Amino acid sequence: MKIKIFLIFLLLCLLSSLFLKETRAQSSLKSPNYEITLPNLNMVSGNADSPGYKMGVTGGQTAPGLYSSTGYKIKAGFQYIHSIIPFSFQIDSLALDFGILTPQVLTNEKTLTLTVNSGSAGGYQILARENDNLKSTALSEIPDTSCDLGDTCDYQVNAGTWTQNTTYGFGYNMAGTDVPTEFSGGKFKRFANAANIPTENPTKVMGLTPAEGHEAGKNKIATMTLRINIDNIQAAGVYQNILSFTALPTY
Amino acid sequence: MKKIKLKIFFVFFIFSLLYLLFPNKIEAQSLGLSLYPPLLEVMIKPGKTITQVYQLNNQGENDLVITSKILVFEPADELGNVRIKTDASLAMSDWFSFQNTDLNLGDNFVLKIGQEQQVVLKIKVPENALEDDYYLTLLFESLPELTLNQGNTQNKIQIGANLLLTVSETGEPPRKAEIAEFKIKNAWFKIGSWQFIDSFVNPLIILRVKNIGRSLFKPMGTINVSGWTGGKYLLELLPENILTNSLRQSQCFSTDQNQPSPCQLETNWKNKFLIGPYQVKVTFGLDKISEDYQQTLHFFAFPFTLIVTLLFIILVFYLIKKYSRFKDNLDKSV
Repeated sequence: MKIKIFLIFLLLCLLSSLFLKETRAQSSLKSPNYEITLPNLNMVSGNADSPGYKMGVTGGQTAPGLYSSTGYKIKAGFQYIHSIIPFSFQIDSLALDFGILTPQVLTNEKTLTLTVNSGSAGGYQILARENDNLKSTALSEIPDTSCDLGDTCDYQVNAGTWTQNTTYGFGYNMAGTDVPTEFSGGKFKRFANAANIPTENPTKVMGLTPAEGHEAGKNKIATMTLRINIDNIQAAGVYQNILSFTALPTY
Repeated sequence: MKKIKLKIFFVFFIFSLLYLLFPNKIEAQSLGLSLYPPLLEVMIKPGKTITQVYQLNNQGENDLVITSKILVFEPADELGNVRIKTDASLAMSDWFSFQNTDLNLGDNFVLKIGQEQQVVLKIKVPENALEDDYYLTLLFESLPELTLNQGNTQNKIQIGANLLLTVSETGEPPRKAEIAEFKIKNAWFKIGSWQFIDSFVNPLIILRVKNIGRSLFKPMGTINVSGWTGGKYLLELLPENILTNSLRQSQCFSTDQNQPSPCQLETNWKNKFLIGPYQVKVTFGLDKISEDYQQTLHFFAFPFTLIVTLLFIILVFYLIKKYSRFKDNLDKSV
């Protein structure tokens, strides 16, 4: 009898834990961003008519000749986009823990999901860069990958294959919505590295412009797969670095 | 004794299950920021001051420590992407500040989960400011949390809004454009000034406009396609900013889809099949619809693929016929 009660209790605990997780997931999907935002444009502000859209707002002056008296003109947002869905960017993890790395395998991988709402942006780009190579406290390094010998890669436009377990380093692949075409076929690149000399500019990992077919919308999702492969003589230690992701609209 | 063992087993089993269900807490926490408006265009006289409200929202599952900065950007390509110049010092840094009573530009502040922070950006242009264009990005950045004894990559996010600032005394800064390229992209070949396309292909028009003036502008106008039969097709140019000393590939605007679109004739019953000579004329003004700038090109549409296919079929039939005659003759001779 006691065992039964105990089992029921445990089962209830388990179920409540499961529902708790469900609630967390809901909270991460909250805020569809339909709330009205009304930037104060120097006394030009007001009520939006619909919960999702409004016309472009122009403040300062609209009629010719008034510039001399007001001294300014302001336009907020893109003239041809009537959405006020804020430009937003989300990644699903604060840090990626690779755990204990197994040498000479291609399975030391972690994924990161990037989500963009580009409703009010004419186009956008997500840029990525690492602050340095993966480094241990003893200053040992895991260098960035240059991909397989026959199909090398860099941090800019060239992606390469990474199918050999003797190809070492740290790199990433992108898949999903609005990702650069060079990643197709499961190809990899290395991150732009801020510590390299000359300093490498962040690289586009996601995003489209109107010229590339961007359509304003919500929940554009791409997945970044990060991979580390080390050889047998890699020094033991805790290796870390910082990845910066920058979301920028077009102009 | 058996019951105790069973209990221990179940407790162990449940704990193992719970451990597997809940992954590493740090890994599970998302980072998210939203910002509005994404673009601000300001034309201002020297000596004037304006303010603009930005709304920053923490949409992640973690309280964030945020910092802010204003950086110079330059066009990264012809498509409207920006390249932030992190190494360039901001000569006019004292023009910008936050009007918030509890927050200064560059200060760290905490943005809790779901919290929205209104940031009032104040732009004060000094009397002696040079009349010019200034292209900047207001950037908000989350500071990474340090974790010890974990082999990992830590992530931080930044979100930016672009600011196009034109300082002008008159409100009419000198604007000048140049049509760098105007052509049909998917033409088969070109003879002289004529481009030849297949009748079943929708002509894709490429227009690249260069800003050779001293202030940004938006080209506003149309591309007119007219045929020898009198049929006319109109494409509306997308009013996108072209910054000084830069080129931009112009796009069109589809009023049907209410979206930017390539400058391409859409297929419908009227223009699905193009044949004969056509004229394409682009006309636009700078920040106003006019014909200040114009250029014309010609193309000739012909059903090349249809003719080639028909010729191939005829050739195949001819060869089959010839082969059967040859086979008949061979049979007769045997």
